[in-house]
Amino acid sequence: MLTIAPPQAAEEELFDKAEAALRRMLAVEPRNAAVLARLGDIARCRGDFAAALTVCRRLLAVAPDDASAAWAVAVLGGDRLPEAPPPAGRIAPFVRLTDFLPPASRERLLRDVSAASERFAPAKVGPAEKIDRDVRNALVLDEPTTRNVRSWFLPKLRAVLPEVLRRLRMEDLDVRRIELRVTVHLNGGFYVTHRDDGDVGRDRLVSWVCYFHRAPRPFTGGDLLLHDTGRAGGGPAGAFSRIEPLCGSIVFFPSDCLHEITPVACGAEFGDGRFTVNGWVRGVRRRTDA
Amino acid sequence: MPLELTSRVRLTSDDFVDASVDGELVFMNVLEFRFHSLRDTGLRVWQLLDGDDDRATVGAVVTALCDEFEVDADTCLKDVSVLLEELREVGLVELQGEASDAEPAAPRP
Repeated sequence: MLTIAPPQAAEEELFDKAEAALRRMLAVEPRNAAVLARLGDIARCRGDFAAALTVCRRLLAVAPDDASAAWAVAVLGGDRLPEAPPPAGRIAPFVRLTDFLPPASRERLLRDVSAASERFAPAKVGPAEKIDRDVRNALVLDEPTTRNVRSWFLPKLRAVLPEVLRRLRMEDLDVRRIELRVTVHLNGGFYVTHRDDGDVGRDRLVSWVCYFHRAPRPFTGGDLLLHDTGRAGGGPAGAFSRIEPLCGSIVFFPSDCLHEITPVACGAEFGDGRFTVNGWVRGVRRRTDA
Repeated sequence: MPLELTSRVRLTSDDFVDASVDGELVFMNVLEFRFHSLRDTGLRVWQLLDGDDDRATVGAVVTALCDEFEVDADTCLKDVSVLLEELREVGLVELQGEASDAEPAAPRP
């Protein structure tokens, strides 16, 4: 009966009730670190990183030695990660750049993908590269078509990569290759919880996703949920960071982090989908203790 | 402690909030940020425990389930015991010994 996360339909009600209960507890004990930590979790699960950062800073003021809180403040505040990760119960690190893609580039991408809509094929999963719509429902653009995108997109990506790796404390990463895909999630599209460094990508070290779509956003859902690592004692962590697909933004995270894409709801037109340019940085870590 | 028909069950969900969706009752432990869910027979057991009487006995639950489903009392007691033990482990119920030994439970708000 233990579940890693509640059904999506129950989330809002549970989080509303939980927040109300936690705030009642906080009114009695304003310095209760556990209550503050869980309020921060709820804000992150809602995708409200500003509120989560405020709570985590308050938590750190109450409990300065709390390594998980220091870690969370660094991730949410856009700082460099602490040198030593907390032993358990930490949020998945990520770097989000909200204005990565200027409007002209977004429009160019939309034109290109609309012209190539016939060349999108069902996304495959696992080492056997098979289509499994119970696991993943998305379309991916074939490799020849993405060559045009690679030529101008990858230089932009490489320009920000050193700072991203510095913040993730992965600057020892010797980049060998950057993979690039163009993916669309149409109505009903999703991807269950998974990690990217599986059998087909053991040297995938950093995953990245850049969002683009029509304005105003023609779909709902399609959030990226980055799951926390488990707590001491085992079992699922429960909390996650909800990253909204903001048009023009890009998010980077270590490829060994568990993540998922929530179901998309949109109209039937191809152009209504949730589009991404996404991929993985492949390479090796130079530090043996990394 | 092996459960008997006279064992009492008390709901202790103070640290939990819940939401009902699609035939499933989802609990969230607000301090541990853990989620649990009940459906089908498990959900029915919870509904039987969550009645007006906060001091339901295992026997009452087993009798009700035997009336509703085609199951014999021994099998039903075993299955209910497993479920109640799981619920006790996560903090959703307290199990007490024989009804005559148990402290009366405080009325639920």
